[in-house]
Amino acid sequence: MHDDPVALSLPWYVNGTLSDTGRASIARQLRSDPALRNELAFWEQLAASQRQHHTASEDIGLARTLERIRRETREQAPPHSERRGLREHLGRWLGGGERWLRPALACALLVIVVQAGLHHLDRPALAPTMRGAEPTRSVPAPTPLPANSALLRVVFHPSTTEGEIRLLIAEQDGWIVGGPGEGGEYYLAVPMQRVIAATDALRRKSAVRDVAGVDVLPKPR
Amino acid sequence: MDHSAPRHETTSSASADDAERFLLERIAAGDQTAFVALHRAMGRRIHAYAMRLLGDAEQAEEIVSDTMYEVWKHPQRFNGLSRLSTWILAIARHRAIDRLRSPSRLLDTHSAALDDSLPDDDTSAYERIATDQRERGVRNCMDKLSDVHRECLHLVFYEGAPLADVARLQGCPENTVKTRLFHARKNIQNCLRLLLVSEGQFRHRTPSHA
Repeated sequence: MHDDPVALSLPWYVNGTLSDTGRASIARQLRSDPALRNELAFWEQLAASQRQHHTASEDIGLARTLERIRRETREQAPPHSERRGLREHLGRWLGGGERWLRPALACALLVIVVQAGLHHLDRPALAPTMRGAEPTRSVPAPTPLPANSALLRVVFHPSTTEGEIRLLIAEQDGWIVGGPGEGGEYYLAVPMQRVIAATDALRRKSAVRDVAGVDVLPKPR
Repeated sequence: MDHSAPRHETTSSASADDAERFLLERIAAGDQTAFVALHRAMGRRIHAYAMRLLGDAEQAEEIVSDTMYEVWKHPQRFNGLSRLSTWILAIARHRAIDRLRSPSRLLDTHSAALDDSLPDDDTSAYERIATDQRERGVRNCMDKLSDVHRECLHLVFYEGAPLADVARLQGCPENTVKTRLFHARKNIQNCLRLLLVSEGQFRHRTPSHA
């Protein structure tokens, strides 16, 4: 029975984490000691047995964790009542005070709206758009589509936040290559071998309104 | 062979760990894609570890989620003194201990299932058992080990953990880890001997159940 330091280090010789010096010393002793070789065979069998044992999917627990993060993101987003409160506050501010101020405020607002409209006509497109509780920026220029990837057009529910969209996309190993468009559509690239699974998985999500495969990315307007 | 077990070569472990640290930095910056990648890298390992500790697939999956959620919430708690995977497995261990009915199980090296083993008076059981029986026998006997010994074997052979990491995770000196493995091997040998006796393939001296 070996209970010397060399024999006690054999498990780490087998798992490959011994230092080079330690390994060399054990290798030397193994050449001249048949009993030690038997012990090595035993540990190797045990190591193989341990590694064979587990067959869980690599995504084990992932959906559950992402759901918790999604819940947390929703809880952190400003509650609906707060948003309404702001509107009410603004309404009260506009409606309150002296009556003679109301026509003046209306005129001022009209001027602002007209100026904003003229400014908008001068520009080809607005970069940021608002989706759900958080701002989502348009992808400025389409990212080139790598080989072995497929393109999906995905329309999310308008209340979906950017955080939720990014999580849904990450779950499918995908990335945004275009969007959001006028209808709230995004263009995602996903690995070719995952395209069917990703399409099915996205279709099952309540945050997703529509998923379709497309061949090309529409040209930016 | 299941390739889900982590790699055991020192250099690839180091580079895998570098990649994991890089992911953690991105997670700290709020990158959810990086989080999914780390979850995929660690999920199966946490599950295997929790299974070894709790023996329940459903609970083990919850441990995976609890652990990774904590990583997402507090990535800054990783102090860089250990490998990232060791830190994550330590979180998983704490979570698993919380769920154990008797947490002291993880301090007890005694296994009731091996009480009937024969005394360690001959070491040749492993050599004498037929090759086809060996794998089955070893697996069977491993299941009968104490939680501490099973955990130790898991960390060394499934995780490929260095001695220092096993000691850190089990919260004991390195020599204790070595002793635990020594006793685990002895217990498995005894259990195999018992198996051979029960199959009439092993002649032994008078058994003593002292």
